[in-house]
Amino acid sequence: MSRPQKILAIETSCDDTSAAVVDTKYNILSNIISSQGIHEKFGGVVPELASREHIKGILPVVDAALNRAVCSLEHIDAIAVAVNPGLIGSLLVGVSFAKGLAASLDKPLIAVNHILGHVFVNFIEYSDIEFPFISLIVSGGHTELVKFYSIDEFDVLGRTVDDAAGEAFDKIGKLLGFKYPGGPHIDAYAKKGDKNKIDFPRPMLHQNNYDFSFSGLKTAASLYLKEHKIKKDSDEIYDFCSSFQNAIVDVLFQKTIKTIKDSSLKNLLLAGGVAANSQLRNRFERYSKKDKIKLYIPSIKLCTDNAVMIGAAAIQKLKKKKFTSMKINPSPTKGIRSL
Amino acid sequence: MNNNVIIRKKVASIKETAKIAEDFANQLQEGDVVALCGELGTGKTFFVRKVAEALNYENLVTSPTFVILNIYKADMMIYHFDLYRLEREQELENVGFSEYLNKNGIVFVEWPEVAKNFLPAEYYLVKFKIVQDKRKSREIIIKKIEKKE
Repeated sequence: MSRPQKILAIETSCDDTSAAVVDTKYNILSNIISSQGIHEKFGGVVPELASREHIKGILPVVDAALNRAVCSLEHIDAIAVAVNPGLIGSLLVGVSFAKGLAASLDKPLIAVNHILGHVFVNFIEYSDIEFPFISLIVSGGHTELVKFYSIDEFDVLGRTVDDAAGEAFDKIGKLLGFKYPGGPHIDAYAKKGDKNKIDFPRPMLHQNNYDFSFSGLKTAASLYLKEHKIKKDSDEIYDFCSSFQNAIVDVLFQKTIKTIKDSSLKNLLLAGGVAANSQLRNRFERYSKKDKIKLYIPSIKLCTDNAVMIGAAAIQKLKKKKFTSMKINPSPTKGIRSL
Repeated sequence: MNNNVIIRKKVASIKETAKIAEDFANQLQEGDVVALCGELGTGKTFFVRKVAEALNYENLVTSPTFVILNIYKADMMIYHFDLYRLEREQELENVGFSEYLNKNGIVFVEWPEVAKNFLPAEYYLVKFKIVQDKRKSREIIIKKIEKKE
């Protein structure tokens, strides 16, 4: 049997500069994330800061990833990089760096859609995933239900028609005065509250499709905050967070189960930063025990942005020899469909 | 500064908002810049969606908050900015804001406050206000802003 090949993966699509080395047997040889930290005080990702920090961070981060994996550049068989979607200035730093490396080392370049990375990171932690499967992809920029036949054959069955689920968490989190990203703070507060206290709308829940809408919920939650003066560390804020989170989880869960049932598939992969939400994880885990779906959820540290996930998706592409032209340019808006 | 109010109307449903957006789309020309102001969840993105649809954009307009700029190919190019996550003027440069103002498309700018010094001498301002905290009622004001030299 031939030795596993090694991939150096780079991910700079948003606020973290990260690099990882993985091999084609899905081993993580290293995983370095330099959280920039400077965004928290601004309540959001600040693009100009982000790209400048990526430029500073990328060399040491790649160096650290190689050192930790105890390998040098000549042991690397391919360079993988997140190419879209994301903040254009930030993506450019990673893509330019990866192109330069690939050209100078004469190694293949593998461009990976950030969203595919979130889905395929599951293959790192689970060795028994079989196609076809359904994936619920939930993050700050995305909310989609996708049926995958392989890494490059898939149908987008449903998606948000307005805001992403993570965007609703982060915007309401900002109104509550939480640091960016707001989701984990709301999650923590929600644990102390009554999830049925406030009856927030569940948009599109009863429509016969697989689409989501979170804009109306965001409006209802911000109006509620205007009408009720909620103090920090009061019972009200816990109940608010719990009820708000419950509305989001409810819609995500029920639409996903509808998709599973309608498609008669048993395999479900959760993906993206919002898959770290504890209520969402619990709800799906309880269901999978009862109804015998096969559920795959990345561990919390692999839900958020990281380069391992770019490597994980690149493994499948490397095996199929799906390499990327050096002419590739990053794009801020191209979603999963454009691959 | 001359502020010419084009429309000032209270609407009670998203249907009425859609009608205003469609009528407004008819007066837009290539090179126009439209700034949209209003609190979270007052309908800014929805308004842009309806204008884009009126200009024969075939896909769904969704929130650009995360990526800051969405680009739509309609009867003319539409550049849909959302500056919610920007804090400082200097950051506009990194997203190429000024370049898009000169591309001869229609530029929409949600959360335009940070870009007020970068807006052209003439632009449209669309304001959304919640009426008496009713969930679906809004006051929509559209003005033509002309900065005097």
